[in-house]
Amino acid sequence: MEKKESVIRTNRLAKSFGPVRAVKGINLLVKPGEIYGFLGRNGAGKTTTIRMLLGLIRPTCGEIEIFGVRLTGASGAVKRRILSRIGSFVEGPSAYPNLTIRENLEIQRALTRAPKSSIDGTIERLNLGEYASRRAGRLSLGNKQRLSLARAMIHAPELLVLDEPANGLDPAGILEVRSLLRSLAQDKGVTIFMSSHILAEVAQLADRIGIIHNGLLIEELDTADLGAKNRGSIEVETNDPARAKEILAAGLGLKEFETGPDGGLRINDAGARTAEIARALVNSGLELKRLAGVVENLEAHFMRLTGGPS
Amino acid sequence: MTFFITLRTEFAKLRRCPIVLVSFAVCAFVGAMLGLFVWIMANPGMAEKLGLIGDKARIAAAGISDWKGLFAVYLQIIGLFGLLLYSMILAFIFGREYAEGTAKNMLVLPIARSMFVTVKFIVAAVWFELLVLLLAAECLAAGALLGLPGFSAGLFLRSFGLILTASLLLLAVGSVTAWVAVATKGYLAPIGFAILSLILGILLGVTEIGRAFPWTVPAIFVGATHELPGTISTGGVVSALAAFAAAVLGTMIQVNVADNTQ
Repeated sequence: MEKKESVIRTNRLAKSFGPVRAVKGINLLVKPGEIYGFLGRNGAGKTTTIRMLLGLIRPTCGEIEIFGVRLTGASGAVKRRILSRIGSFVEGPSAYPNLTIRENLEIQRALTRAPKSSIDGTIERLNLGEYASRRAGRLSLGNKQRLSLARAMIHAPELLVLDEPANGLDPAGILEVRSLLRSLAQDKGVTIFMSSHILAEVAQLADRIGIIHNGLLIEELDTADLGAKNRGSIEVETNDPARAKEILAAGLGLKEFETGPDGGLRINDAGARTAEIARALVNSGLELKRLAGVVENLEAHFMRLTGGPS
Repeated sequence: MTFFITLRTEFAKLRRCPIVLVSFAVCAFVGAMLGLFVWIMANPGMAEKLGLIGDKARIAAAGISDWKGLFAVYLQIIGLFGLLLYSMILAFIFGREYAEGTAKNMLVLPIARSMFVTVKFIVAAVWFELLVLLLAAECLAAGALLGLPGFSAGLFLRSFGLILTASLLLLAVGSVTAWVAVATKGYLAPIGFAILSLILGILLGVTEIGRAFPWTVPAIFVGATHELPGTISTGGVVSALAAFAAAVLGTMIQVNVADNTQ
C-alpha cells in the first residue's frame, strides 16, 4: 500500500564503513513535487545517502521508504518496481565511451522500456542535438553531464535523484538545467532530490533544503523561510564583547550569542529589540562601534552551521 | 522478453570497442604464425634461404608434418592461450563497468542484477567461441594450403570435438575471472589472476595432487602435460563444473550484495 504524503522518507538511516560513520542516523522527508536541495561539504555524507536511497549500498541501520514503499528488506521485484520510477545519476557523469550519445541513450531506453520517441525528445530537451552522433568518450565534461541528465530522465521518472547536477556545466548550461528541473517539478510534478555544494544554485532552485554535516542532518528548512529565520539576528561591535554579552544576558535575558573571528558579537535571539540593545550597551558605558541587523543568505547560513570556511 | 532486451544491449555495448577488433586480430595473427611455422617445416630449403628458420625452430616444429600433428598443436594453443583470452574478455566485460563508471548506472536500472551477470557471461562465451572458430578455420586453411597429408573426416570431427570440449572447459574454469573482476572492480586483478591460474594449471598438471585443481583440467585435456590429448577424469569434470558454479554464484552474490562505492 503506497502512502502519498512523502516520496522519500528515511528513518534513522545510517552507514558505517569500518570504523568510519559516514551517515549517522538521518531522517529525511521529501514531499511530492518538491525540489529538495541536499547540501553539505565534501565528505559530509551526501553521496553515501544517495547511494543508499538507490540501493547501491546497504544501510548499516535505519529504514528507507520511497513512494511509500519500505525498501529495507524488500524483495528484488519490489525494489525494481520502485527503481523503474526513479531517474538518477551519482557522483559524476559516466557513459560507454565507445558509443555515441544516441547509442548510450538507446541502451537506457531499452532497459527502462521507454518509448523510442523519447530519445529524440530527451536529446532536444538537453540541447544535445549537435552532438548526438558523437562518441561519449569525446565529449566535454559539460556535455557528458548533460548526457547523464538525459539518461536519468529518458523514461520520464516520477523522482529524480541527482548528485551534483550542475557540476561541469558552464553558466549558460547551469541556467538551462535549472530551468529544465524547475519545469519538470512545476509542470510535470516530478520530485527532485539533488545534492550540491553550489549554494547559489540550491538557493535559487530548491523548495526545501537539508544540510548534512559530518553525517548528521543538522537542519531542514524551506528556502522561502531562510530570510525570516535569520531576521532576528543582530551583530554588535563594542570595545568589550565579553562585558557586552554579560550585560545583554543579564539585562535583557538574551541567550543565543556567537562571537565572530573579528571579536564582533552576534545575537541570534534579538528579535526586534535593536533599540533596547543599543540603549543597554550605551548606558553601561560601553563604546558601541557598530550595530546592524543581519539578513543571512544561504551561503552565510551554511557556513555558520557547518563551522565556517575550512 | 527482458532477457533478450538485456542481452541485445549487452552486445550493443561492444560496438566500436577496440578490444573486440584487437582480440580477432591477435587470434588471426596467432593462427597465421602457426600456419607460417608449418609452411617453414614443409619447405625447409626455401625458409632457410629467407632466413626464417633456425635449428631451434626446426626441433620445436617436429611432429607437425601431417593433419594430426597440426590439430594437436592447435588444440594446445587453444587450451593455453585460450584461458588468457577468455579471462581477458571477462575482465573487460565485467571490469569495464567499474573502470568506466557505468556500474552505478547499470545497478540502478529496473533489471535483476543476476540478469546482467547472466547476459555478460553469455556475451563473453559467444565472443570467445567465435575466436575459437576463427582459430579452427585458420587451422583448416593452413593445413589445406600446405597440402598436409593424413586428412580424414573422422580425424577432423574428433579434433574439432576436442577443440570444442577444450573451449567449454575453459569457459568453465575461466569464469572465476569474472568474480575477481567484480570483487576488485577493474581489469588488472582479473588479468593477473588469469596469468597465475594458467601458470599454476600447467605446473600442477604434472603432479598427482594437482589434478583436483580446476585450472589443470584444460591443460591436461589439451596435452600440455604428459597426458595424451583428450584425457579427462571424472574428478576433472567435477572440478571444472564446481569452479564454474562457484564463479557464477560468486559473481551474482558480489553484484547483488556488495556495496557499490565506485
